[in-house]
Amino acid sequence: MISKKEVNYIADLSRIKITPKETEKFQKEFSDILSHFDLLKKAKTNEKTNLNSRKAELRPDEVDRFSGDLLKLASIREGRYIKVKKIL
Amino acid sequence: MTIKEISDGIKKKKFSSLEITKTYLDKEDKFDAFITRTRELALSQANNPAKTSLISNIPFAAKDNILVKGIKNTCGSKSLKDYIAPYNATCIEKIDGILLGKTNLDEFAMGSSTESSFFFTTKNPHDSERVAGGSSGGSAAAVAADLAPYALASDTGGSIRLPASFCGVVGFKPTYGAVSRFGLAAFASSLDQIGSLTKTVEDAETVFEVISGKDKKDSTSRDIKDTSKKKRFKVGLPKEYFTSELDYEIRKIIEKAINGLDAEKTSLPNTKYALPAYYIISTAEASANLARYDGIKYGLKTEGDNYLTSYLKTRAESFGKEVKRRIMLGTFSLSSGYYDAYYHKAQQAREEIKKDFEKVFSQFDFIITPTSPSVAFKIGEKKDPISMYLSDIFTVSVNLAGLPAISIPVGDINNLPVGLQIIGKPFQEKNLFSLAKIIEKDVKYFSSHS
Repeated sequence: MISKKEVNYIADLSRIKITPKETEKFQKEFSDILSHFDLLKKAKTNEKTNLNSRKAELRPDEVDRFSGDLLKLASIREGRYIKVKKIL
Repeated sequence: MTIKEISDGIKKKKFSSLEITKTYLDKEDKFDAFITRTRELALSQANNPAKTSLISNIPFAAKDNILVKGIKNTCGSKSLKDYIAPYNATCIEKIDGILLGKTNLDEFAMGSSTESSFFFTTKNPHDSERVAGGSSGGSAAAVAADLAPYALASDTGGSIRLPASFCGVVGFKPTYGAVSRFGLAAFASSLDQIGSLTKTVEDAETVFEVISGKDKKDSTSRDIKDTSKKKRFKVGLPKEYFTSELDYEIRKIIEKAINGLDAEKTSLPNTKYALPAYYIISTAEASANLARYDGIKYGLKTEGDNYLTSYLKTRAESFGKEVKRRIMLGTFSLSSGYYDAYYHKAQQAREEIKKDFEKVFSQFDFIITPTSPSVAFKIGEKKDPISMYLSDIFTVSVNLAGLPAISIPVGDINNLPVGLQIIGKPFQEKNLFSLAKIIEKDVKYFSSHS
């Protein structure tokens, strides 16, 4: 059983504010879902399996003009800048 | 109408592209298939249809997570309810067609019924008390009710095939990498694939021809050198999909549809691990992909006292409960202390599932299964998340292994369609279409239902 403290910690890591009622609901649901996932522990898997075998194929970065349409999508702007609250 | 029928009709001058487009635009959307109908855009495109692709003069619909420049793209989410796409997805560019509208989906394609859409639930054209399936329920219902000749959609764990099965249309998910994902709002990037909903297998093949191929904007996309052209196929029937728990009527319909094929029992022993592995991997990837919805660059924004509270409030306000649940589950399985037991273990199980398929494909050309363990269920019927997740039990393995698969309608139970799934070898779509056409011709579902 996952604890309420853990649910709130995960919500915080996920950057989602949840209400005490949601904490309770997610606690129950996550416990059910995770116990269903526990079946996976029985899977016979190979520790040596290389999980990073895919090579990244990246194109070179290219300088391009961006359209003003992109900036228009931001909710708070100042001139050509996107404005955010103070971080520090 | 099918793409083929419209294409022939235009060629024989029975009607023009504009006339057929108007006919589609004037149809009433009785099943809530569309979030946005793009009448103005469609008329301007149909007035002077492009000639860049085979299907430029055919009207179509696209799932509302595939970007079309200048058109609202909501992903079925409150967070993007006013978002206007600033560019086209590659598949939209390649088709260069006539867009009728953007179709409903579960929020960010997370669901099996469109019930998690912020806007409304799409109804099944065969029974409006039932779901159209998900997540591409809008696309499937639009094609089934002939509100569009065909529709584009995405499939992460069955999101094209399940609604195709529920609505009695053809749903095709190509090999991972066969179609560029550029311009598809990301859910789980190692599983997402763009495909189609059509009325016939031939139409699915036509759309695939147009949208497939390498795109430098998606590093996982490939050019296909598919030289497969067999005439006789050996089909494997995995016992894990045909258990005693499988609905008797569904089993009977599937067995009847494959009667006459060279089919034998086989086994994919790691099938039981596919659903947990899928939900761990897809939610983990979703938790990273959806971190971008912070309300700063675009999307809904709710102000707080400082940077962090703005972020927390924005995301609380932006997402519905299923999306929150999945972001949190994914965050959990990636978090310190749980990573090895969940995420890492799921990735290892994924490799075993892939090996199962490789082994079976060394003896068989295809695998056939039911697409879904049930016919379309009632709206509101599945109340807890696990029972909803179980709807995907026959479709998720295909995404984990990156294989191509198609769902074709092969029968009805009380007027509710039943889909048959054919799974093929990677990048051998031609053979997959050939076998699907053989079964389609034999079953005559479309010709008897139109």
